[in-house]
Amino acid sequence: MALQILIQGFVLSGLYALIAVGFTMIFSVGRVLNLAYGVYIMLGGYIYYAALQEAGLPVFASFILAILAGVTFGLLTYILLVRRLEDNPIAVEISTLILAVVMQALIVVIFGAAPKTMWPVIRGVLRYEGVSVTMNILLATGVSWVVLGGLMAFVRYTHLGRAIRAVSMDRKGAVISGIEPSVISMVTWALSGAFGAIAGVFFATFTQLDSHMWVFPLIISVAVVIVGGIGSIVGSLIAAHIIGFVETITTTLIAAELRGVSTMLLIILVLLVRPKGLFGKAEL
Amino acid sequence: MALLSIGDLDVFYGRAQALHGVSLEVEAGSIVAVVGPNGAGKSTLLDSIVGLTRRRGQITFADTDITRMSPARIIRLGIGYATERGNLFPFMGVKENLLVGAYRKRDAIEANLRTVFDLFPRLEERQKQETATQSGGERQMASLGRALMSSPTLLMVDEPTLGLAPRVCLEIAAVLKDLNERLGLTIVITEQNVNFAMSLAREVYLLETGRIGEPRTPEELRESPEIAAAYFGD
Ligand SMILES: Nc1ncnc2c1ncn2[C@@H]1O[C@H](COP(=O)(O)OP(=O)(O)OP(=O)(O)O)[C@@H](O)[C@H]1O
Ligand SMILES: [Mg+2]
Repeated sequence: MALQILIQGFVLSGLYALIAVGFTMIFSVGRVLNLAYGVYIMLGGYIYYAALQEAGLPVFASFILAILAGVTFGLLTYILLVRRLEDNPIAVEISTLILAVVMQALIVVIFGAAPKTMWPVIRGVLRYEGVSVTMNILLATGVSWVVLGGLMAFVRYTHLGRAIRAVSMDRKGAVISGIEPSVISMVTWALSGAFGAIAGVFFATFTQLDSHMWVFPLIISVAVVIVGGIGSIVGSLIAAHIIGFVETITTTLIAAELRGVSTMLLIILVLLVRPKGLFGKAEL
Repeated sequence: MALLSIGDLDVFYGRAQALHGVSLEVEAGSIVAVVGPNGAGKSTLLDSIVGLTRRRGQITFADTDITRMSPARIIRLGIGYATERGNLFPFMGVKENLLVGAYRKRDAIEANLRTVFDLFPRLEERQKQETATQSGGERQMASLGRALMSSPTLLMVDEPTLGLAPRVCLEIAAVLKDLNERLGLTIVITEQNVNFAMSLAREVYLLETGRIGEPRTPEELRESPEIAAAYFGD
């Protein structure tokens, strides 16, 4: 039982970290909650499905198309909506939520209301000491670590990455260093779309494709921001593990129906006890 | 022609007007000071030069009309700006802050780091320290250093002595003088401390409630009775 919780906790947390990273990035840099973030995840899943299972493209090409869709949609959200409402976070939040609902309807129109089952990205099951995990979710965890590690190296050691952190810490300081904040915002939104789409492919293979699949990842992302506090990538990673493990423990030991509920309760608990999150600081 | 020239500048915060018809000239190679009390508009003036405010008038820098340019482009033309609060990146180390300053000038990073560390050896000793934990004086040095990392031709410093001990003020003054004399850097500072301003600048402008006067030399200022009353205490 303990080993099962440990393994499942880690793989679930890895997936959650991957889901949340694109959302927390936007929050750190722009201080807005992008409630359309779940759409990038849904879009990633559906585009991958359409390319692989309907058009018959290879896995790699389907992945690239999903990522491109995420990037495009991320950029469009920023250019058409967020940039025009930037001084007004509440307007951004309302309009991105509306965008998500519109996209949900659009998905139903295009793909129908019936849920779809996605093939796993890779097949096979790993068994160890009576615990079994699919290769697919292990791959998701691996990808999550690679993506997060890459992002961390990017923001630490490259000029562009450092500029993103600079804007998140002190906008005026960044501007007087010659950084164009709108360019940085575009890069962040594009990356956010890409991360959302990658997470979406794995999330959809883990559950299934349907038109309201954007809600659950959004809740996970909000939870990671609230539990972790604004900013540090390491903080989000730890937060994702807290959420993943709390969920695994409650579903394994108490009742499987409590999936999701534990996360909500955790959000409220942290809001009451530490409104700034457990690791809150202004850094990305 | 002057390196920086401002003509009839009006600046607004919402409906409130913070600067009224301000004009100012800065010759290449000079040090110019703008002196005024709290709320006079000193920070507003420097912010306006780099395009951070809503403004009207004419600003030229290095023969280019920058009145309607974006801040990042103005900075790129060769202005280094050390702001009043420093606007450092609190959770980055000193060296990383300096590297961000080099965002537009990547071909001279090593040389500029050397220049900054030679001017402020303390920064080199503590280059990994997060600026959030630095002392006020160290932060002022880091802020100046970051402004120098873009190899500017004009350096603007907003109240370099604000909240600093006299000894640190002298240190900063020596550095600014050195930058001007040895590297030929043109410098604009704002100050409340008129003595500090006069020790550095050959031309001093007085700014009060958003209005600026004619430039004066330190000698003229000392002889002018109104100034003596207002700034030196009679
Ligand atoms: N962001 C802002 N919004 C509204 N009003 C502002 C803003 N910044 C400055 N002001 C106002 O503009 C005027 C000039 O302010 P400014 O900060 O330029 O003065 P200062 O000379 O730099 O003063 P200090 O010596 O205290 O730094 C003040 O009346 C101030 O209240
Ligand atoms: Mg000021």
